[in-house]
Amino acid sequence: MTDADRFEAFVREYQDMVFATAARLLGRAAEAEDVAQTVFLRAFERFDALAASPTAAGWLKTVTTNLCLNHLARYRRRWQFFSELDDEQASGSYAASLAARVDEATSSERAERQVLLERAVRALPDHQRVPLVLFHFEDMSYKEIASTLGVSLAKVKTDINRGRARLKTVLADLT
Amino acid sequence: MNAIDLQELVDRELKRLPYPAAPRTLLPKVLAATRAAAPRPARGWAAWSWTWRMAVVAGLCAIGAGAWLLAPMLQPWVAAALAAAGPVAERTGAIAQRADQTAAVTRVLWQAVLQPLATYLAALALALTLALALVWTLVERLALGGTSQP
Repeated sequence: MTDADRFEAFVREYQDMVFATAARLLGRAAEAEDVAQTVFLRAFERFDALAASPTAAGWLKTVTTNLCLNHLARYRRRWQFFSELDDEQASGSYAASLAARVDEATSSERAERQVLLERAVRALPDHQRVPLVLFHFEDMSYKEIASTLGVSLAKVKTDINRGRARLKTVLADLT
Repeated sequence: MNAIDLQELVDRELKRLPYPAAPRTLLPKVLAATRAAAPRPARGWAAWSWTWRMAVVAGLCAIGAGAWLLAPMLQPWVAAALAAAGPVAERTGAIAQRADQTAAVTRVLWQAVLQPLATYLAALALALTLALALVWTLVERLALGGTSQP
């Protein structure tokens, strides 16, 4: 197996994880794809060390998270207005891809529930979604999140609780 | 529902979510980008490993030393071979004489006929080359959109 084949297998193995992490943090599939591409280019630069490493998945998640946070800090404010205009269209295609994915393994009812929950996470405002995703998906503590985002511990807790409260209403509607 | 129950509920529900599938375009994009970013493999002496370099140097040294040691032993053989080649040397002399005559005729022809035209021909060739280079540059910039990618 050549190096190119090994790298292709590596991307195939981790692409869903990297994309999911980016999509949940950024809330938009197109931006997530760009970030995922950058992550894999960085992985390619140090593939010799990374290929056999048992911490490859962790490294990829960390790089993805950092790139997403940088991306949010740099570009989101500038493009927010325009992005919101086609938000419905974007979320539709993203939800469709997700539905196709979950439908293979679960009942349609459960798949729909998962799509709606995923959508609800994505619909949260940045300041609630980002700490909530870091807490629940990336298993970071409140303290780590506060340090990473450069905000106070109290603000992190408040924002996450507000995000959870919004998700709770979605979950309540679904039951 | 208190805050801890809510945290547990949300955590449980979110952790059940599957990874959304990466778009099908991601893998081809990544592979194309890595192909473009990959350094071309180095070739030649600089690309050889130190082991191979040392082996080649050692081999050349061994050949040189062998030739140095074997030269006195080969000297009688070389002398015998030269003596045996006497008739061949005579023929070689005749061939050299003819080559000398041919060269003299060629020199006269060059000075009389070709040399006066050579300057004009060289100037014409240079002008054509420059014009071709100029046209190619313009075509590449205007029609092909710049330097082509490897």
